[in-house]
Amino acid sequence: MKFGLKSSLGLIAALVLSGSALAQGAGDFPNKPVTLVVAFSPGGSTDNLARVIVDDFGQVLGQPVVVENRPGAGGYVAWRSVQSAPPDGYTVLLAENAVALGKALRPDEPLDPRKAFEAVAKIGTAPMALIINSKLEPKTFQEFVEFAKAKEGGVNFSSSGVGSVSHMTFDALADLIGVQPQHIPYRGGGEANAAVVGGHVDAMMQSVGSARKLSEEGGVRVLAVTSEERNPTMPDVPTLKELGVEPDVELRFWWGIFVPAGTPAPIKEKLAAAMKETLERPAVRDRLANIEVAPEFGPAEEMAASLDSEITNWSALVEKRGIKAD
Amino acid sequence: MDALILGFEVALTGTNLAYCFLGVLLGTAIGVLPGIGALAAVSMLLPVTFYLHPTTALILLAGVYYGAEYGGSTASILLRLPGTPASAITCLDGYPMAKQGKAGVALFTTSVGSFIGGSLGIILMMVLTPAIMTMSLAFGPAEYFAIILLGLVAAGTATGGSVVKGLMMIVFGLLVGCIGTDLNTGVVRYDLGFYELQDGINMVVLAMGLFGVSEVIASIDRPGGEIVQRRISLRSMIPSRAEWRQAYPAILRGSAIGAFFGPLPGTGPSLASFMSYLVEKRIARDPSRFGKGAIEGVASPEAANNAAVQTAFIPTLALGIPGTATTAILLGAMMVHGIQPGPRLVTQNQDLFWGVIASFWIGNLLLLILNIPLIGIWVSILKIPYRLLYPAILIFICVGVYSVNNNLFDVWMVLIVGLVGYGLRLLEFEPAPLLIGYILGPLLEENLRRGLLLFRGDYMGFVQRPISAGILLLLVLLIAYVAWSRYRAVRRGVSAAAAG
Repeated sequence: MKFGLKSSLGLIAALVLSGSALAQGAGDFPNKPVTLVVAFSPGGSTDNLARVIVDDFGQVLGQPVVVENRPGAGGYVAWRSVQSAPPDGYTVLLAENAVALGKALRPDEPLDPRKAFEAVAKIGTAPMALIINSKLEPKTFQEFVEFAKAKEGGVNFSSSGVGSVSHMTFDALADLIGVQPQHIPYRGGGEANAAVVGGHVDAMMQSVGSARKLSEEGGVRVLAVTSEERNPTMPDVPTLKELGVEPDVELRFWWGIFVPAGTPAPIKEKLAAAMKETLERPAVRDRLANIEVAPEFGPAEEMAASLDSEITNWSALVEKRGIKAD
Repeated sequence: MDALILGFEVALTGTNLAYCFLGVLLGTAIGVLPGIGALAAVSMLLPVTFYLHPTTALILLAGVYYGAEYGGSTASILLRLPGTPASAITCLDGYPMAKQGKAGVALFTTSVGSFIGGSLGIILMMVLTPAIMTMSLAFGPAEYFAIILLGLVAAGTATGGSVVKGLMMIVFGLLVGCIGTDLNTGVVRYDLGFYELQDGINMVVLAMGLFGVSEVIASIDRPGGEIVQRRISLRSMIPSRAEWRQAYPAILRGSAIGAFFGPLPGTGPSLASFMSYLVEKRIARDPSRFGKGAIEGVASPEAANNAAVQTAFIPTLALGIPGTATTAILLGAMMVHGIQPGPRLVTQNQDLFWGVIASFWIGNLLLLILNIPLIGIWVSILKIPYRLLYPAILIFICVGVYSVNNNLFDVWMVLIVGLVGYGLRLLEFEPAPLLIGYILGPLLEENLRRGLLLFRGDYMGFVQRPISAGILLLLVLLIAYVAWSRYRAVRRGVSAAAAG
């Protein structure tokens, strides 16, 4: 098989390259492997993203980058460990929406991500979509709003857990359209998807990638997407903006990298530059496209500002809706 | 059928065969090392597979996964070190067999049982994929609740030794299962102020502590020496004809049970092992042999586990629903390679789907060929004196447990659980019902409450759906049967006493 030989050579080349690239600037940083901390278990979307970029990120940096999963307490186990790690650039947090949601949901928590971490760069985003079971009546978003208002006891929706992105974004949307939904939490996105496809639950907010896949199989109907523009793979599905629904919180997944507060600026710059270059690599872009993450490099200031507004706006919503997750 | 031939053509190319072998070899090695699970191995290998053809990548990763399931039984039989709930069940009779000098027989039975279970699982997968897909989608909270309740009650009626003590352990397990964050409200229960307890006590920590660490502690007051002193000949590894006659129907029953439970997300392989063990015990002519080295107690759960691991791939590949964290990584790997799991995978990527399925069978065969010669080596571990073996085991446990979540807290926890396990042992409580309660309790609660939310608090919702009503009826019949057979036994005792 021709592929076998080529791929083996590729593997060897990758291993050699990762060891030989030279370090430039920022003193001799990095001169040992860098740890990329993921706050969730292997197999989740953040872990997938980490595994997709980690090899190339290491090649660009000139030192291997190792993914370390530290799941627990909705992310706090990992965040506390990053907070107390030495601010030398060797511990990098791959953060996602959960950092902002976690703070909004636990206002009494002493760890404040705005103070404990310093932003390095924004990496990418993934838009979301509103899906409903395909056997339900509503064919459009407007019909869904009426259905949701009329349904006795309220429309119900599945999510991958209390305080998860799928839970919070649905609640944010429900707030905008003025309905009181019934939340049915599941363990993880796969189970939550199956609940909608199987007709056990009415609706869900899911990533555009999953939503498209499920709708192609006929189990669900996609009613709206949260991105600014319509999704090229689903040109018939309107955006929330077109429908006149404009939230103050981001109804999409986002990822960024952070380091412990006090990390020297040249090191942060070096990490940001390396991430920028990583995200420009065609192979990385292909893989990111496959896992439905849109690479979107943003400098540290942009990441910090967006984290700040996320925490403020989610906190306001949590208070208004009386959502609790201790 | 053409599709299957195509599958074998894909799986039998040199590269794919080599990676299949590499996968099962790595998997076996990882499975044998207590604690270091397939999860860590598969996630570390994932970036490497970006440079491989998607089919080859999936063959490699899946090989590691089921290879580890296969290897996991070795450590539990030889050293009472289960890394998964399924292998905890294998401990119950496998370890007593090892202590009686029949480790070879137990491992041999495991290998053959796993192979047959895996093969039958694959055949069912080929024939029944569409039916199984429909079934796993039709299972809502009511159906899950009913089937988990059935499992829990079956466990309660079939525990070894004292029934009261067995029930006490199940309740203890239910309580341990309550530790952590409540799924429905996000409220944290019994965390005692530890962040690390907000997700509950880790399953690996509990299984390793209760079985492994407590065994190490118990060995301290045992006179020195080795577990087995005798020399192990090849002859002593092959089950006798009588043993084989007990084992093979158990393997077939286990495979069927495993294939049925496999596709249920989150519960599949562990529930399959529990249920098959309980069935064996219930239908055995002399249930008191169980827990003391009954060969069916090893054969059936192993077959069930491996059949379940195979059929668990159906929801993963065809629906995109991961059953376990490890299968979630496999899904991630497929997506990175641009393959969308789903019903259309079967039709659009025929060579990949059937190639991977054919590789499962080849992988199972390779595992059999690989493991039978290794049995002799594994068994000779038992000849290492306690004073050297047990400290090494303790180190392996600590490393393994640490590797699950990269958290030192878990290492302390496994030692504490080990002490508790030793205490229970002194009081003659069995650890298995505790583990059953711990695993099934949260699932039962979760599905009950989810069902009540959906049915707006109406308990009738659970009996108005045909599948859950059927399972609940089966449950009532089981309880009635147990009550009736007890009553008959008591009455016979009374009339015998009256006659005498």
